[in-house]
Amino acid sequence: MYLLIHTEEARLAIETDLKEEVAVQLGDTLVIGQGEAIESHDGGLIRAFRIDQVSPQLVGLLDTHVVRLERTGAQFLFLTTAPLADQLLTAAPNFRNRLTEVMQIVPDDLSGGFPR
Amino acid sequence: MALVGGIGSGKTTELQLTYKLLARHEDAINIYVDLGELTDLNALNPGAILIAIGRQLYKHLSKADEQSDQIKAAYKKLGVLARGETTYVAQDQLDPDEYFEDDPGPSFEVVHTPGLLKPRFPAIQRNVEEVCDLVIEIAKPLLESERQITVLIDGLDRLIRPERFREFTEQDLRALRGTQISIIVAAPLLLWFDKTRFLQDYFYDFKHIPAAIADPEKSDFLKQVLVRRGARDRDLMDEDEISELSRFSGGVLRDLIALARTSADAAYRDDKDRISPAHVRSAIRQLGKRYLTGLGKIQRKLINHLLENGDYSTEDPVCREMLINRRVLEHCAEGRDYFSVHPALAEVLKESG
Repeated sequence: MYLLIHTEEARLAIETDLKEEVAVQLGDTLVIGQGEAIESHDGGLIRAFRIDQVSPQLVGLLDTHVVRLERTGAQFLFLTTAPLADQLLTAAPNFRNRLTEVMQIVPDDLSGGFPR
Repeated sequence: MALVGGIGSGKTTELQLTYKLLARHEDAINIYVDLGELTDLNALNPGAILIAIGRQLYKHLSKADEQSDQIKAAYKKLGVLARGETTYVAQDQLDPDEYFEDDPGPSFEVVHTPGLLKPRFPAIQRNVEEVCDLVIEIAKPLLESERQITVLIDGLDRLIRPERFREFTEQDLRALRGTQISIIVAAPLLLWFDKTRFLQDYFYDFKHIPAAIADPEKSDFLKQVLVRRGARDRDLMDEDEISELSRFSGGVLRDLIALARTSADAAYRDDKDRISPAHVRSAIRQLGKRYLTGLGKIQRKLINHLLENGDYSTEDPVCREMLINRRVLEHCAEGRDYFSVHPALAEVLKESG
């Protein structure tokens, strides 16, 4: 279960990168859902969710259901921005504790090392 | 009995081990209820735990007892209470008590005269009493044949705020008092620092499980865990790396495993077959940064105070929050609680000045 932090501007590029990565590496389609829909979203070895606001409902959902999500055996990716990650990690200690990693994610560098 | 401890302190493991131990007794009926699996904890109502217990107990009845009319009726009623139902009742047949419960109706005024004798415990709600009677009906044949029923309840500790936990203890768990059904429940850490006598009042016994299970400076236990899990296999890491991982875990088993795994990830990314000191350092930094995320000025001030003077007040809500998040670790030695900043966080704070 990973919390991936990105800048607001990079969101689209990162989502595209992740989808392509899953398609190439696993031959699967990655659907990126909204965080609030986590309960209704099933199937797939990798499940990705976008968190674009931190509401008490979302905090409750993630914090009390995180153990159940973990037991599904799927890999969960949560995509959000740094300020929202701060809010979420403070408000949802169970969720924080179960995260495998909190990481910053940047879009793939397609320049091949050359200046853009 | 309540097992009180922070997130990742091992309450679930203790419950599972207890379940295994109790299973050795032939006359024991042990029920493990993970409420998070059964229901949405955010929408849990008083009585729900009792329903879960009653339905599990039913599975332990003999075929003959299952066929008893009263037991069948009790089990069916529990199912209805669990799922809820919609019925149509004629106006003149409405149960006035039920009607008054939420709304006295247009032609009534509610006049409440407070009692002179304040009860020690809040009254058990009528629906909880009803569910409890059904559970006892189902448990009766088991108790009459002197089977020892123990229910192990996990998941309620995920309700971090103790008020919610209290609500269920005051209703569901208290309703079972005197029924000869034993309960062992995982409880949130905040109850340990509660100044009221809640744990003493509601539980015959309670055990505190600190997040730090061993002091890495004094015990080899954590190092042994790594060795048993293959740290020395194929020369994966040296004694120094094992010691560093153990020290910076702060004694928290979950963090020890996270540090070992992150170190291995770093070695893999580096295309190396063994974990070097640099990989361990990067894992420590990564864990420390996780604890650093969301750390505000007030928290930093309290942490500095703890680092400099060893002072830490669990009466301060911010201090309690840092205990829940394991930025600060609780230890218990010779009956005395004391606190320390998680070593991985302390390291990152030191580096950042």
